[in-house]
Amino acid sequence: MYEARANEQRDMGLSALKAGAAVDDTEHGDDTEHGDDTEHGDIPGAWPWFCACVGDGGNELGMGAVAAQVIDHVSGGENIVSAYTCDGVVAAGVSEWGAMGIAAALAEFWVDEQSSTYSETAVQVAISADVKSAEVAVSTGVESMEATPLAGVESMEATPLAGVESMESMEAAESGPAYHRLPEELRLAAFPASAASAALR
Amino acid sequence: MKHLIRPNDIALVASEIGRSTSRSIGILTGFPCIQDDPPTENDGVPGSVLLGIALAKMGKRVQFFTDACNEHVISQTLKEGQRLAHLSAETFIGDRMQLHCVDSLHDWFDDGLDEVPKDLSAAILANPRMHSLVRACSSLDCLVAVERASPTFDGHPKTMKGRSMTGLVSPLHWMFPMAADPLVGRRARPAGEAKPGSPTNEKHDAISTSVSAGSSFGGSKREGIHLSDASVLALDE
Repeated sequence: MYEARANEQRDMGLSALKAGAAVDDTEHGDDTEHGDDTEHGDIPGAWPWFCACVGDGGNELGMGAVAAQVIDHVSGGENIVSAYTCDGVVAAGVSEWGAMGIAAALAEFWVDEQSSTYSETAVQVAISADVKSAEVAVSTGVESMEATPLAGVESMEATPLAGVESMESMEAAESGPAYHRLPEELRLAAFPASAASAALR
Repeated sequence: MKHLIRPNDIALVASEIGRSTSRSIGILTGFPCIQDDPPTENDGVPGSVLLGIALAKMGKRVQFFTDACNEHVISQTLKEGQRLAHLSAETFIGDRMQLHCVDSLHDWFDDGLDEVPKDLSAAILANPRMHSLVRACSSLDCLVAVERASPTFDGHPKTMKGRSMTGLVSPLHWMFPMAADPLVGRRARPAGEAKPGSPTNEKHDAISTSVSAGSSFGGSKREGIHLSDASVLALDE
């Protein structure tokens, strides 16, 4: 009964949104590039989307997809678990690492579909970013980091597809100086962590 | 943490957002759980920017969505990322990457959180500002939430310690489907033992009623989704 009501509410909301978007698209006449949606023909390329989430505790958007596990295994999980679900859940000790794992996994797929140039870039970005973000996470005492300081390793081990690149990055993060051995061009994404840290100071 | 992992999902996510037909990706981030200014937790921001840049380098259009209170941290991260990744402003920021900052909930209503529309769909349709957000989202093929605050089953987004962030968080979660009630299975019992009105059922019914009534935030009274035109920031300066 609950799911039926929830779906009814969602459909109602989406219908309203689609109606609004259809009006909006008519007014603005844009987004014709994505106008090939057939199932929901009243709005180009809109719902249903593929939804994914990255989380590290269970209270992040989309983690309701593993609500039962959150309640069973996270302290206070019943009180904090997300009420929203998604199609793909990437859980990591620190959400940062989950996002980087996706980038690394993207590289794997990208090799098959496109030239390896982009693949290498994605991996390089993932590796170099991981090092700095791990350092920042430790130094700034992120709440989730305090709770699960090494859980990221565990989560990466459980995600074999992203395992090669991400484990390399984990080792680099732990050894510290490995980062400095990377060529300059491989440190592309050291930026985000340092920028975020600076902004928070 | 290992109990929350679905081992194949990272491959699923990468394949879905990486496929050539996924041309426009939305990234939701922002977890304003720090009791300071800005309140932005830094876990998630670098990763979301990293993922966005990787996707942009693959030729995809990336749109970031976050709360207004996170704007400074995320916009600075994007700009610094652009600089250090040697991305030209003309090519990326404003073209392939955009940042949308949505008002925090307490700024949505003239009287803060004391006066909120009761009917979700009516509030959506009646508010022309919603069209700005819908237009920004209408071309998306995939959504990825990276360390993004979410309402719990009582309608309030919370920190891991259970502190509510209701006033600071904007209702971007409407893009995601609702989860099944995790308490349903726990209430399961052999036929004849069910006791309507028992404490367990009362709790479940209260949660169900609250969520199904569209209580995006804070119970049945608080419904509605809005977006301020002025709060939509495109980094195409």
